[in-house]
Amino acid sequence: MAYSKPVLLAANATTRQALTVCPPKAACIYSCQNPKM
Amino acid sequence: MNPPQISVRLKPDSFVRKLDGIGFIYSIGSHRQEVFDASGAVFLQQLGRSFRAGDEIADDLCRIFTGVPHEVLLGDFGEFAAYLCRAGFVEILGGIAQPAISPATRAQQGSAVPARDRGLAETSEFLKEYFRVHPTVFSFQFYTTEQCNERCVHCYVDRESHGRPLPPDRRLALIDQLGALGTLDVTFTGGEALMSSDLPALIDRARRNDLVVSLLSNLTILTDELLDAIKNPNVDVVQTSIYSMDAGIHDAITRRPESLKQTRSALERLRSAGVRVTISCPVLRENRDSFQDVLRYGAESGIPVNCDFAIMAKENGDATNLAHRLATGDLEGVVRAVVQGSPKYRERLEQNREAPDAPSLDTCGVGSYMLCMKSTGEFLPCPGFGLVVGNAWDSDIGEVWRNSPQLAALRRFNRKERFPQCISCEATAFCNFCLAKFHNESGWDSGVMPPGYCEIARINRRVAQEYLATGR
Repeated sequence: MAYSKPVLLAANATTRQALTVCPPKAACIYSCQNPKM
Repeated sequence: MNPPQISVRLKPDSFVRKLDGIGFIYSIGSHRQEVFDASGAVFLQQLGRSFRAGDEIADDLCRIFTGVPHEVLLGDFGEFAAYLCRAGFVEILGGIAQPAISPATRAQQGSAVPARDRGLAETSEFLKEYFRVHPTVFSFQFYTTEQCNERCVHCYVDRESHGRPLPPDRRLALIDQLGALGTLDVTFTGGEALMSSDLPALIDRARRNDLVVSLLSNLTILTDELLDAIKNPNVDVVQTSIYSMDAGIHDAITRRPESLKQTRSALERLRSAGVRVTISCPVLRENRDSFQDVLRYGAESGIPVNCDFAIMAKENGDATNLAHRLATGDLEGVVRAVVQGSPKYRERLEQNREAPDAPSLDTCGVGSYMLCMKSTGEFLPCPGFGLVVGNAWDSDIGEVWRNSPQLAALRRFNRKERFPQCISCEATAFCNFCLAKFHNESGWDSGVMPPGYCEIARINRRVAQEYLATGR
């Protein structure tokens, strides 16, 4: 496998959160409490 | 002199997954989650639950990255581990490895810290796009039973049995399948999940498969034995529903006397035991004037409260429970109550001052990263979404995920085509577009937005703009 130094592609953001008074999909009370998505 | 030897291991609440071409790491404690490129994925795979020596890891890396000197990989891994340690994902014994290579070689190798400072994506957005291209069962919701000791007036679960429940050994085997598929988390829900006698065994099996666990429960029958099972390093969060701090109102919704008292007591026991908890608060006609007290309780006690103003019709298409849904005339009042009663929501608005007008035509993760299963083995796209896409009696999870025609159709869903009215809508940033809710009322691909959904988004936008303009 070709080698290059590891690169960070994505990290948590403190901005750009959903604005709905209902929870964003991340905390949808039905679909799950998946904090990841 | 040889550089000091280091040993590295994942913290007990950190989880690593290697996906196709990328690596992912998640911490329950901090909710921090990061994605690395293909080399980073290989580095992440070297991390386990026991300490491993840097030299041993570099040996393994040499076998993968053939031709790269041991000392280069040892040095780069040391830097990588140091970064992860600062970020709270790993523990390191010994000094941070200093690469035993010349400064010139190090300069050729590029940056010492593995980060792409500029243009760094937000993890959930990155993964959403990734899973659209590479569908993966990353999140799994498991109805351990449809039976419940409450009878909530608005419940969407179809409690009628549509087949034989899977036996305990099959349930455990399904958890093993998730482990083999690289799933990150499993949510145990119901019905009332605590009524399943094998719940401790399921949680334990999830831990053995290195899965993150969430639990949705009314908590009314939380025993010490169950509490012990939940106090598990793999358990991320326990969610429970509280509708009102007025027992008369809460218990009338659950139709179980003493339920508020029991739920609150169990919630406090979980918190005392160090378990993270959240509250869901569906808002109905019955609690429209008292759910604000739940927001206040959450704000005072530091428990996140999530509301829903558009309850879901039943999975079997029966919409009689929607008689409890808020009337259109109630919506503005409840939206204003959240803006006024939730400091966290106001903070989110302040941080996103520019966003209210930004279009957001997202859908959700059905078909791309989440799957749900009822106790009878019927697979649904997500909880509440009354569309059977396969059955665990006939197929394993991977087969259903790959071969289900219903999931394939969901993956082809295009919001702009099916819901063109969204394209010109100004309130999409405030829209909770939920195919499960639409499905139970009118069919997920009907293009019909059930009444009230658009109204909520428009009212939410107007109230948010007023708040940003006037501070009220």
